[in-house]
Amino acid sequence: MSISRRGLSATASLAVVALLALGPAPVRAGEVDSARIVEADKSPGDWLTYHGSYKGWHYSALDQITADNVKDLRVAWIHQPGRSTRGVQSMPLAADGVLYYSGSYSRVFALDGASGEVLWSYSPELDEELVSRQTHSPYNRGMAMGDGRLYVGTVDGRLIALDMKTGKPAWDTKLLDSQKLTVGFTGAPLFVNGRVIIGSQGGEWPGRGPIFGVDAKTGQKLWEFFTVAGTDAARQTWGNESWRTGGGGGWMPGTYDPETDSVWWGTANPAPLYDWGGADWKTGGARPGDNLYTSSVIALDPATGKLKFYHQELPHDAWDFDSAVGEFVAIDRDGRKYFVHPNKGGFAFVYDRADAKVVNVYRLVKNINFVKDITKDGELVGRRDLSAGPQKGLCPAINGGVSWNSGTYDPGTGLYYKIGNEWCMDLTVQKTTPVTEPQAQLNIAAEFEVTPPPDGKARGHLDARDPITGETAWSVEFPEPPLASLLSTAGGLVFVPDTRGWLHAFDARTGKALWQANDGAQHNGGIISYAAGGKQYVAVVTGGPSLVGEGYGALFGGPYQTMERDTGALIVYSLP
Amino acid sequence: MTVRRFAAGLLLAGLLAPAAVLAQSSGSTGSDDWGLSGGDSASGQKIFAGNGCGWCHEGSGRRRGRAPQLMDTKRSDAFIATRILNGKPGRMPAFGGSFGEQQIKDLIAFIRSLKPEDKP
Repeated sequence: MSISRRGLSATASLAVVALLALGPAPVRAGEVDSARIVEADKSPGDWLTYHGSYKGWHYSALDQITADNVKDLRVAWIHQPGRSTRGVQSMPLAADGVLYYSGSYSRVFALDGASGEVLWSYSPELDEELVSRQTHSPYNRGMAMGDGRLYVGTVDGRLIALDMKTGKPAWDTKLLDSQKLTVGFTGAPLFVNGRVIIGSQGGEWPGRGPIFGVDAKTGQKLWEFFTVAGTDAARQTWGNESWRTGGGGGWMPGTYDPETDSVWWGTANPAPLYDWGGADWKTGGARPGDNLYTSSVIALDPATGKLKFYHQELPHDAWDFDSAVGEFVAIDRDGRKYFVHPNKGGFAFVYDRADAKVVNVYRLVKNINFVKDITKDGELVGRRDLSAGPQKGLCPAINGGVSWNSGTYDPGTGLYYKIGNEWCMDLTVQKTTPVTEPQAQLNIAAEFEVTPPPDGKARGHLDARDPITGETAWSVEFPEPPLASLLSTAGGLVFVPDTRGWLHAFDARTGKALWQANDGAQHNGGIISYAAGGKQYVAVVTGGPSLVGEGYGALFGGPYQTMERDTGALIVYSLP
Repeated sequence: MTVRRFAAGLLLAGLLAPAAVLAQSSGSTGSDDWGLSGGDSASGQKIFAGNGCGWCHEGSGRRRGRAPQLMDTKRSDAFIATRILNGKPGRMPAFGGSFGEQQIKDLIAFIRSLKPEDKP
């Protein structure tokens, strides 16, 4: 039986009426604003922004599902979005018992959180010819919510606002010339006080990787900040006019600090990924200089896009270890306020939230040799800068010591849970010329092969740490690095979706494995917990491969060589 | 002009449905029947490196990585040209809007010239 759009709307209306009549949580989506996101702790049944709240904890205060009863967890309902090229990689959102998520091609679904019934769906018409020319496409990693609307980016360079109740577009704004730049938007936006912030893809493409501020009401662009040479001072850090093709970008959502009214964002790497300047990188190679503001953490004024302060985690990043991981974990301790931010190179940086001053740096992985160390105040020691030609055993591999998905912080245990990846690579650095006509092309400047690290097999590990000191409380090893985000809950649980399809639950205090279920496809995206009808649910997305997981067949063999691609679903668990 | 050369010309002009070409070329080995010979492998190597092809085809195409090994491929020239031009959704981007006929020929010549790294 086919359902016409009118019929679907009628069904959605009936579902909303049913919710109003039967459920204890009436739909009041229009009330989601920045104040409510700031006070997300007061509505634990919701998941209002990519990182759960501006605190970036990926934590749910719901506690119905516990270490004692998690063994009874089972699938409540499933939603199959279809057309899941590269899987579902997004972080669902939830408000007032309604669950929202995006899939490949920026398709958006609103579902009854208790039953999974479709309330509405939206499928933007994309420039499919452009999509066919993109490499990092057509996945979508999530949305923002605020002022009664959902906001989703598209790979053809648009930001779209949808009415949360109907799914009808309120505005559709073209921000990027994706035909020319090739890249678009795959990361989730961030809603802040009536503005929508979104960062473009970039990194290995010869552009300037802007971050945009857009008026949530009208869709008008308010500002644009270039992560490559975004200020006159920054332009001086790019020799030989290399800023024109410098890469950058900010392809994962950052967060907002209401106390300083600052948007914190991690920026991507410069292009080409691998510079051949060697020890002379300040004056020679493809892009002489520090290359600001790539591989940096920046704080922007949400109203104007003006840079307030920053820290460049890797000056002249020559290894593709960007700072675009959007995770900023807010920790208050002993009267001081911190953000913890993992860098792809395998280090965690601890910042003072007032000014991005580095107060500590610690290792998230064992196998690191692109530097000998990074000091507690953030200075790189013993850089391994590369020259053209073969290089052996660079650690970590291009896939990163950490990937782009997020860890989780549990305020109950005081522990920060994060996946670390142990792998290295051999590479050959090649001199290249940026290709910008007729459209931009990847500028990698190297070929590589991921290899096991010196201390054993390539692998991953889940670590529970003190978020400020990095001291490890417990660890669990995985045969292949899990590539999805993590979730901790007030029930004393840490959920880990892995690449073999298993969803694991661990005891948050001890690391003891308590439960697992197989979702029938790898995990490469988000996981949340929310409430509907007074009941706690855990929702996880499936499918792939991601760009990192795509290499698992060659590296790990086994099921990864034949694992089904381009599938995806939203799977929701609950207690009986 | 042979029928195959004409088809190859249409292919390079983006006017021939790739499915039709694939149907004819599937399983055949490389040959110059399609008018795709005569490329410069050194130029092809630069195009390969400069457009990020090694991101997926590791070792300049000598090994499987994210994408298949290209060295010793049994695919025909027409198949390779079609795949470069049109890509494959979710796997490989289309380069039909970027590369001209000579660049396609150069890339094919480079792929055909690939030898193990320790055997120049």
